[in-house]
Amino acid sequence: MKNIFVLFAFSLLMITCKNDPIIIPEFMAPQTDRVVIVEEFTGVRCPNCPKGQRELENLQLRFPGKVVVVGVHSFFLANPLPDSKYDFRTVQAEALNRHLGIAGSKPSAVVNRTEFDLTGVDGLFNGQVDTWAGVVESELEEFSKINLTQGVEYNEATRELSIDVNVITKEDINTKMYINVMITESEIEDPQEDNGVEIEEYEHNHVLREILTTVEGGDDFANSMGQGESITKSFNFTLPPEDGLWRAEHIDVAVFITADIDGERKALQASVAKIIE
Amino acid sequence: MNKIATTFILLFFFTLSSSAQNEAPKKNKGTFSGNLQTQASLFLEDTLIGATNFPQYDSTQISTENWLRLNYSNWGFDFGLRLDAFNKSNLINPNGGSYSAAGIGYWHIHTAQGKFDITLGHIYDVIGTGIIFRSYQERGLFIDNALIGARLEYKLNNDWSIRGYVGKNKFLFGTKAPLVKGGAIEGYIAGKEGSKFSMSPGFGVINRTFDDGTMEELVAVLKNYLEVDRFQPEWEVLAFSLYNTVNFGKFNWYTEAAYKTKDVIFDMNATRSLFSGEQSAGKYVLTPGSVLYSTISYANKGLGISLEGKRTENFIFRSTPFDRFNEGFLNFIPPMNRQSSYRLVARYLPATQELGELAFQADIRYRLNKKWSFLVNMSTISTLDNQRLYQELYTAVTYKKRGKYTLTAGLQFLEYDQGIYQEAGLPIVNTITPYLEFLYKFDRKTSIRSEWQYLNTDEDFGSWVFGLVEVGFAPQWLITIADMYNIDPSPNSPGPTDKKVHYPTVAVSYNYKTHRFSLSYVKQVEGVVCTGGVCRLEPAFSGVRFTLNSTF
Repeated sequence: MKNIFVLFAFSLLMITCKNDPIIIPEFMAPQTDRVVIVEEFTGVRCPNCPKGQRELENLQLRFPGKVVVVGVHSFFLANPLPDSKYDFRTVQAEALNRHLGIAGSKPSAVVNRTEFDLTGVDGLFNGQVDTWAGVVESELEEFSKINLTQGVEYNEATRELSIDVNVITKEDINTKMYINVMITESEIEDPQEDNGVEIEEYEHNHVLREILTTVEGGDDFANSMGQGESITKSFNFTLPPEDGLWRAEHIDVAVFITADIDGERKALQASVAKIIE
Repeated sequence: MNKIATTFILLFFFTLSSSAQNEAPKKNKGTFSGNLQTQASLFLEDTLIGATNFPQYDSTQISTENWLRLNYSNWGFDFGLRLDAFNKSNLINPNGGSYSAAGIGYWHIHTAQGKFDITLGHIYDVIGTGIIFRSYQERGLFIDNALIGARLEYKLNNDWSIRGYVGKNKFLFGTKAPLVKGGAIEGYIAGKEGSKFSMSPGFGVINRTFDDGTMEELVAVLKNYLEVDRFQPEWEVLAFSLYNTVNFGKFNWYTEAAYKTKDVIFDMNATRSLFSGEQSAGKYVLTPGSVLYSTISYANKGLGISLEGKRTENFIFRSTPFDRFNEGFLNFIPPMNRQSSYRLVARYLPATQELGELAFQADIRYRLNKKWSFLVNMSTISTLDNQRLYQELYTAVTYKKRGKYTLTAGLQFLEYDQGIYQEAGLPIVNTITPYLEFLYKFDRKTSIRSEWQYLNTDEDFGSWVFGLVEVGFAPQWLITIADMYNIDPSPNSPGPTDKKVHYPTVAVSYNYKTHRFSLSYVKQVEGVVCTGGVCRLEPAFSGVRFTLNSTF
């Protein structure tokens, strides 16, 4: 009798009651003025990275005008293939990677510099491509606390580029703010591993070419800003001579503002502009 | 709060340990024991072997991993505590990760009271072979998925017992969010008196319940899937396992059948449709899973025969669908290949394919007399569509001159689908590896051991030679010099293709009572590191390693 009671007690342990049906809501693009920055850590030897790039293109279609992408080629799987014409790695890209931590796998995305908690070890990095859309959507459910605009002027003769970045706050921001200005280049054809096949003329997009601030973000942007306050910062850069890379028509300027919030340096707003429209 | 709890528990243990050591012997002072494992790595960049491009090499960093385990038993209770400390460790992420943290990595309180056996805290346990549940620690792969909660076992009678668990799986210094419950009933049935028959049946159940956070993340993923790829996830999953060992004279037959109800897993072979119109490899799916596993062995005098078979389908069982690599394991599926300690023989190891695998292994050993013994091992692993992934034929002949020397020689033929086990697009690797090991004992204390292996292949990094000489002065000293030499490099080899690269190792280890110190200079080629079918690709390493193992 006692044994039957014990068996019954153990069986009770197995009884579960969480059966609420899960409804998957229909997708609706969030109505927001926010733009997210996605820093994708990638490499030409990374066989799964084209999957990441496809997903980012998918997200840019899914959330039109709301996703700015920077492709960071650094550390493992990023060294050129034997047939590569270019080495996309830069000292700044690796410094940025080191600043943010090291991705456990590639492709890996940092979305709005926001902690990614699914596994608990990745810190900012999200190596699960299928979850990127949900993370981006979640960030877009908030409105931006600032208006961020950039004016870009490019002199084709001298290849001089000047960028004026203006921030106007929509509410008080009582924390230190940083500015990040990155030059990216798209439509670069060069080999890429793609799920076991080397694609000789793979189109690399949003490749990080230069960071005009420090990799940590320009720390002299603002210690705090009151509602309606405006700050403009200017940056100048001369494009290196064209050598297959640095084709002005494929150069973008990605700008984003970060701020220290709850112990994290999160992105508030992002913007991207082509230097030649 | 965590620091206060840590301090309190530490004070408790140190008080116990000092009282255990100082009190008069006639008092019931209990028993205190412990173990310390420390390992430190100094990273020295070597671009020639590909030990570069990680932050550790930029600034010649030192990483350390430390585990201090303390045990105390008294008053009918066992207390266990383990302090874990990591400094810039790349163990969790060999690709340049740097993990620093310290704290209590394990604790338990255990007592056996009459028919009850009760444990609170971190629980390591296994049901059957682990197909539906195994919580364990494998430090080399940074796996520690102890169930943090309670375990209750009740002896129904002398032959039967039932146990249950409830808790959450450990992860680093926290837990995974989903709740895990389960248990098993196991017994022993003897044949009639004088019979050679007996059997040990068992039945286990594990239930995992998603937490709200995991479900919200899952819904966020599925919301962004197109209709064609969507499904309705479920909170609960149940995994059942029925297992039995039959002993009949010289035969031993183990069978296990496991089934998992519909669970959300990431199927890398599935295809997802994107909003852009493109297709993307891999997606989350809702599917049941199953494993059938059996092994039968026969042993008689000098002959031992073992046959194993396993069929696995969609049996990824983790805390959350987002766990990857070696994170969040709830179970362990036994591997189906021979484990080898020879460097080149073990260069290509197959990780268990949880999505789908059909595997067989045969192992035949024969000892002709006191001098000669023979071994043949065959294993083959394929997908459920009969695409072969792995095949090995391993032979060994051993000649032993008692008390003087032992000579072992053999040959390995291997086929290994590197594209599946390591990185998509890599070729099928075919190798032939002859090997020789010679152990000579000068006297009871002094010995010399030597290994020679040659791995022949046209794929991967090409062909290798490995040589090792190890001199032992028992019980204290062991000095090892080894070199793995890329004698016929392929275009994929690290460094220039015309350069034949050496990967030397020089190691010294010293034993003092129950303490073992080891210092080694290592150049290690990139490769797969496996423990029991759980594997990961480790990058090349160049540097110095120190390890300390101390038991007290």
